[in-house]
This record gives sequence, structure tokens and C-alpha cells, in this order.
Amino acid sequence: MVHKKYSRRQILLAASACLVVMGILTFYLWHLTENIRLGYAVGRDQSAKQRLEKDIQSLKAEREALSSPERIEKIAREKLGLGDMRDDQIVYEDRK
Amino acid sequence: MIDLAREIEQKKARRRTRLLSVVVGLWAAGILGRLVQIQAIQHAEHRRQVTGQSRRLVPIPTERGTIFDRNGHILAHSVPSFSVVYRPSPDAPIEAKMAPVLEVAPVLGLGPKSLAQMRRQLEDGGKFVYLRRKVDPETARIVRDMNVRGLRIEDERRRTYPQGPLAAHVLGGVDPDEKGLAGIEFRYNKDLGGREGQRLVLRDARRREYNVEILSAPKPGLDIVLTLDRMIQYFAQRELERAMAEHQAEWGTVIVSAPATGEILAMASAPGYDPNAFAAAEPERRIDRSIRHLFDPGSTFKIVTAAAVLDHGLIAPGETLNCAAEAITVPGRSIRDHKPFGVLAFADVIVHSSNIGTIQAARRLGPDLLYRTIRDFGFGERTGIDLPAEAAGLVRPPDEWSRRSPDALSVGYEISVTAVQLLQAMNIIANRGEKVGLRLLKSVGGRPANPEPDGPDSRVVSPAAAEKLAEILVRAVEEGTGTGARLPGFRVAGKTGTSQLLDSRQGGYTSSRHLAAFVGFVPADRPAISILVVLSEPKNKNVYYGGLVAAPVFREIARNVLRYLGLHPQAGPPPGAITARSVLEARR
Repeated sequence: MVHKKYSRRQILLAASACLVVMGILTFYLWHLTENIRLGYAVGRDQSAKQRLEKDIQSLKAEREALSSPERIEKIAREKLGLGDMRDDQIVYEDRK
Repeated sequence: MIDLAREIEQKKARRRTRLLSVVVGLWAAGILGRLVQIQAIQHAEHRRQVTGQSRRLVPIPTERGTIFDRNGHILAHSVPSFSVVYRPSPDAPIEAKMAPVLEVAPVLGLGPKSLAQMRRQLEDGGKFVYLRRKVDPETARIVRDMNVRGLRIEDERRRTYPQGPLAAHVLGGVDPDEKGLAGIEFRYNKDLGGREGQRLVLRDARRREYNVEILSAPKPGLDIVLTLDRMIQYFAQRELERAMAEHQAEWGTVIVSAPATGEILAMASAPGYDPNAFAAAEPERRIDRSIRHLFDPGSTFKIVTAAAVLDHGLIAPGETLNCAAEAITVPGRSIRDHKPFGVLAFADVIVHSSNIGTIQAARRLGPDLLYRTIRDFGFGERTGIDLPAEAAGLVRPPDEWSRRSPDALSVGYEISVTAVQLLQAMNIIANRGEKVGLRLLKSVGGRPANPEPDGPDSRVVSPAAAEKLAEILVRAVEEGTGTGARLPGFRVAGKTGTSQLLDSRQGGYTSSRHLAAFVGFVPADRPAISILVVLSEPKNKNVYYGGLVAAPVFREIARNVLRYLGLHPQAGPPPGAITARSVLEARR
């Protein structure tokens, strides 16, 4: 029985082909996992962004409530002991 | 011999190798076959199963537009909120279904009434129950950490009004789904509401999102900028509430506007409510008195009569009228003055608000001319202000008048008006005869709501007649019935009004219930603001005249608003007063 002998070149080519296929498969798997990993990261960042946007909206409303004229007058009267100005307490600049 | 043995060994090895190759080949073919079966033949079925478990279409809530005042202060805004929802196992017995609800009940503050209602819903086969809507983030976090089976926290939005009851009637309110129910929120619900979006979310077994795809982007609601000024609104509301308390009035309203542009700077009604708790407010408190309540304007309406006779040259301000009689007889009744006057010039008739003198002057007009002037001033039709449910008022045409109607109308009876109509009428005098429509909106979504008026809408009264009337109204404040509105350093023009209210039981006007009003503008020469004050049924110490009840409210609001707008008294500082300028000059 005669067996075909593969030349070194043929073996090298076959090995290279196998390596290329394995490389492509490895890259494909890496690409898939990386895609999913990035998907998780984007999901986390989007949640964080949404949370921060919500915080900003709540803070804006809170700032408005804190600076409402009613609240400021209450603090001025009750905590600082201020009262309404009388006309004789105001001196207007004489505009020329 | 050795070669033969080796050959036999090699044959055996080759056979084993072939066998192994066949086994591996079969195994690979099996895997490949299964792969083809799963990936190709059963692809659709598996895809459906997987996406059903991991894929979810999630609505993207849109953001309701914000309502700002003219200076960019937030009047109404939507903030994130949370709702606790419960999806029970469909086959579980009712006690098992209720167990998670009872577990979170103390945290959510669910009382026996709410729990009983939820039990009924679950017994009826309810698949979805709101345990509590619009909870704060802290409560939502506690419930989430409890990790109760079947409970979910859903993102929502809550409408908040950071200024509290300020401008409540203008803003209106919304329902739990943020749908406008009154005021600007109702009128501009479509613009404010926007459109919800949708996203496709892929989740893994641990419910972590690993892919999000926006299918349709949400369209946020448009922001609205009002002509209101938060500070002026505050002054108006504060003074109105003080007057309401002092005079124990049934209701009241104050409107402040800039006559030249028709912009409403403040609009307050009392009793009021907090739009943050719109549903809880009594219906009576939610009525916007400035646009919906009709009343007889009484003597404030004399500005219309006076404008008509002056405009048509039927009388001169100096022409005298005999007002000495105790009363003037009109068909079916007699009309009196609040005190005897004697002979008065027409200007003084208005200054001192003589009914007898006004009726005598108005008789020169005739019904048609009087009616036409009333309609030209805008009575009997909506002003078109950007609020829902504005009343048109009631002005009957001359063919429906009785014989006493012209006399009654000339002094502000037999006609029903709204507060905005009365202010618009006074603005015509402030604008020296030009009618400029009142408006409440500056912009919607960044676009001007109404184009800036390049010119007046229409001329109602000649400039000369309006100027004469403005001077008469200045005298009404300086020496007439409106002295309560006098403001040192400013020329104030205004008119008082005290009208009797209709008594539905008696079927006529009653002398025991009154409406006090004052309407005016300041500075009289170049009006920066016009203010209307109306208080119904003041009861304190029997003081009910417009000059005593409403005029002082005008004065206090005007004082604060003018100071806020940087308009200083026209009179200079008192002699010898220390001013910044005098100090600087002394240093030099």
C-alpha cells in the first residue's frame, strides 16, 4: 500500500488555513462578547444619564421653590425681623 | 518477518484511525445537524421564544413642557416620580395575592379603605393594580429594596408648581396622567403634552439591559412663556389676600396689565388653591373670577358713558349739570347719589361719581349711540385672552331694553361684565382711545404666541376725548371718590365703583350686599401699569365703598409694582435729603 506523502509546503498551507479560520472564529467571538460588554456599558451609562437628568429637573424645581417670593418674605419677616418700607425711609436719586 | 508484523500493526492502526474518524465525523455531523435544526429549521420558533423572554418594548415617557413667567422663572414643571404597581400571580388564592400588598402597605401609607378597594380589584381578577402613584424617590427606593414578588416600580412624571398657589387660576392644574384640567394647562394641553416615544430593550437572564434601540424618539412638549411676572403676581396676590381677610369678602380678583402692549402682568383670584393639589381643591376655589364671574360694574362703568359723551362732543368737561335733586326718576324707580351735590361741572360729576349727573349727560347720547359705545369698548364679547371658559358678559341690544335701561346702563347696571373686560375698557383710556387686546402668552415653543402688536388694534375714542377723560380720572383720585388710591409722587388716574348685588330671591338689587371695585392706571401721563381690583361682599364694619375697600388695594399694589419696575416718584427728593448724588457731590 502506497501512502501519499504531504509535502512540507502543503502541511504549512493547511496549518496556516486552520490558523486563519481559528483566528477569524476567535475574532468573531471576541467581537460578539465585546459587543455585548459595550451594550451593558451603554445601558449603564444611559441609566446614569437618565438619573442625572431627573436629578437636574428635580433640582431646578427645588431651586424655584426655594427662591419663591413668598418664602423669601417669610424668612425676611420671621427670621431677619425685616418689615415693609415706609415711604419716608426711601430716598430716590435725583435723576438729572 | 519483522516487516510483516509492522505491516499488520500499521493496518490495525489505520483501521482504528478510520473508525475514530468515522465516529468523530458522525459526532460532528450530529452536532452540525442539530445546529442546522436549531439555527435554520427552528430558527423562527427559537427567536420568538428568546425575544419574548428578553425583549421588551418600553414606552419612552415624554416630558411635558414647562411654563415660565416672563423672566424665565418656572411656574409649572414636570419632575420624575415613581409609581408602585402590583401584578399578582393569576392562579394564586386571594390571601396569597394580598400578602405582598400588605407587606408594603405601611411603607406606602395604605389605609384600610385603600386595602379594601385593592382586595376587591384582585378578587375581581385584576391583573394590574396601582398601589400608590407619584411616590417620591426615597419611598420608591425602599420598596425596591424590599424586593417583594410581583411588585414593580414604574417611572412616571409628576407636575409640580414650585411657586405654590401663585397664579394658580392662570396655570390651572393636571390630573394624575398629566392631562390639563384647567387654565393654561388645559388650554395648551396639546402643545405642552408632546408625544410618547418607544424603545426596544434587550435584557439578559439577570434583567440587565444589554441592547437598547430607540424605535421612535419622544417628542417633548413645548415650553410656554407667559406674560406674567412672578414678583408682580406675588404683590397682587398678597394684597388681595390681605384685603379679603380685612374685609371678609366673599371673593375678589386683581389684574395688573401693561396697557401699551396689553400684556397681563398679574392675575389673581381669591379664594385660591394650590395647583399641586388640584384634585383636592374645592370646586368653588378653582373658579377663575377674573374671566368667569359676571357682575354689574356700577360706577366704574361711568368711564364708558363719559368717554361716549366727550367723544361725540355732547358735553364739555366744564359744562354744569344740576345734581341738587335728591334723586333722579327713571321709569319704574329713582336713582340717588351717595350724597347731595348741588350744581356740578361734568368733570366733577365723574370725579365725585354722581349718578344723577351721569344719567343727565347720558340722556344726550340716545340708546343706539350708548349701545354702540358699549360694544366698541368690548363689552358683551370675550376679550380673547388665552384662557379657557372666558365669559362673554351680558349686554342686551336696545330692542330688548326697558325704558329705564339707558339710565341704568349709564351708571353700570343692567349689564354684566367680567373683570378682564373692565380692565380692557380702562386700558382704552390709558392708551388714549386705542384698544389693545389683552394677552397672557409671550411664546409657545420659542415662537411668539401673538405677533407683537405693531400698532393699535382699533380706535374707540378720539385722543382728545380720552385725554380729557384721563385728566378727569386723575382728579377723581386726587380729590374725588378715589383718594384711597393716591400715591405720593405719582399721578394716578382711576375710577371707583360700588354696585349693589342681585338678589335672586327678591328678584332685584339688594342694598345689603355690595361689590367694591377700583380700576385705574399709573403714571397717568405715560401709563406703565393698569390695575383692576374687585372685592365682592365686603363685610367688615359696614365699609363697602370701592373707594374705601378696593382703592387702597390698588395703591399698595401700584406702590410695590412701580418700585419693582424702577419707576420712581415723579416728584424730586425732599429738600435737604441725603442722596447718593448729593454725597458724591459733597466729596468732590
